[in-house]
Amino acid sequence: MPIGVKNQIAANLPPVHGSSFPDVNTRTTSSSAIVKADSYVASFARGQFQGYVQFGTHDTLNISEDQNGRDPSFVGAAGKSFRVKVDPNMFKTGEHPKLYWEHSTKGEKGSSSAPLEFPRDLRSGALLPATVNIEIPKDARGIMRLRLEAIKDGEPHVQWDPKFDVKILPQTGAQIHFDSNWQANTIGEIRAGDSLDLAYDMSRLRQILGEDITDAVACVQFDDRPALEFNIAIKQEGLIDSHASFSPRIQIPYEAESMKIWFKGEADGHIVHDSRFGENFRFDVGLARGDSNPAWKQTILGSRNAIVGLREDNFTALGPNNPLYNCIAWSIGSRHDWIWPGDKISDFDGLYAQHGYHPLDSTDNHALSHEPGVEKIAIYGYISNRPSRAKQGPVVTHAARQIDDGQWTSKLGSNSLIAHPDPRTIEGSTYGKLLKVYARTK
Amino acid sequence: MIPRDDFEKCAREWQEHIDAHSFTANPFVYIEHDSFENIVAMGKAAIPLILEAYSEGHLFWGAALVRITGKDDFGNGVTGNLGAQRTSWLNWSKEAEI
Repeated sequence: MPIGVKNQIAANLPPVHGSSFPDVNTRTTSSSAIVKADSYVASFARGQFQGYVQFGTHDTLNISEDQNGRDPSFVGAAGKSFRVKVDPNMFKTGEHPKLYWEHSTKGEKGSSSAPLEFPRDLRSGALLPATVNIEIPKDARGIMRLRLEAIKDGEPHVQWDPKFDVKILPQTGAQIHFDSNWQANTIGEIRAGDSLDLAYDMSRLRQILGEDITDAVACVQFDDRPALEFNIAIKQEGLIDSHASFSPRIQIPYEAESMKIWFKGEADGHIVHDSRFGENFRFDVGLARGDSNPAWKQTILGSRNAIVGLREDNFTALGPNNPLYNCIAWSIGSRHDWIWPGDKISDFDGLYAQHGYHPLDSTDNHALSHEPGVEKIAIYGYISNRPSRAKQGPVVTHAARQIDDGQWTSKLGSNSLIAHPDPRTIEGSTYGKLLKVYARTK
Repeated sequence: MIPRDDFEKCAREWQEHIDAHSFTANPFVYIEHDSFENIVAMGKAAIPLILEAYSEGHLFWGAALVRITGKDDFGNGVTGNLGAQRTSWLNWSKEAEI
């Protein structure tokens, strides 16, 4: 019976602390094997298609990426093999079917194709599924589009559906290992848009449920979104191997800020949660890598109202357009609000004083420099053409925030968040001049 | 009854104004336009059309609802958590069976 329909028993598990990260795909006397996908597979038959991962020579595990009914059916990983299996019954003799695939690397689209050749069973002579092996480039991202094409009645006939799409998991990312000592250890940076490998030692659930585990899943919730479930149980001839688990790779959404993880296991009609005493394992998610999706930058540069100082080579985009927050909210650390204290400098003095910032005397290079342990905000503006408003000082238009690596970051209205090394890059007709710098110690 | 064409013309003009200022940080700029005032002037009869536009469109429709209804318990529709305000207005419309 699937998890989620029976009485739930809270497992009192010890809290986690950091420690070293053992290699996955190993087995020790106290811990269990954790296996990763060797390749990903898409299987097409008439009227149905299925995605699964393959590890070892024969082991497979069904995966369901389409958890909300809108996503692609299949998942693949950059730098890994992706195998497409097509049932011969989808075509008639003489239709010469082909598989086409198209994916993006660094913003460039590449298209390839291969004929579908159906081998025959040596004994029965029946046609067997055709297999095409695709090596997904290490820097591929986004969606790989699959389509099937055949010649019917002398004309090309294309079979394509958005459900044929393959979501490519990026190669760059972090790992979290939930080990047999009840610790959770992170290797690498957890960043929006990157991949995340979850390595769960099944001995944790075995200590609570015993040997006869019948199901196990990892649950992942980004911010307040619905939780996603990923299968971590490995079945051997219909039975769960309680001494091994599958390490799912997932992609962190580009706009995610935080993540909660917990695990559910089932045995003998009971469901237990490995959830840090019900609090779940919580992780902050860092900003996406600059220009993870080349389209973000092109959208900004292609806008008819584009900021004049922005060029291809002097900024990176950190996410897609986002109308949920503005630059002032971003300057004080919120990605959920539109904040506007007024358009006078005194209004911003008051706002930033509430958050512990004090104004600096200058906007020179020293004021704008990166000082470890100091957080800085710069505001921008211009003198109004209206004399009555001009008398009240500059009209504030924008705020930028310096982040830990010394770059300045700007949320551009309802457009993207960007990083620009030089805070003066965005000066110009839209935001005016840099007016004032505020600072606070961390 | 508000002619749908009249409403859609105003909505389209307002959207163009918002798009033209999409780099602007000051959210009050987005509602400084005749098309916004014309929508508000349509009064309560425009509420079903506004809710329809609000469910898919930009986040500043709440400002029009606040002006028309005088109801500001979800926020002013211009500042604050505009995503949450939209959810509150759409839930309110279901409860009010609008």
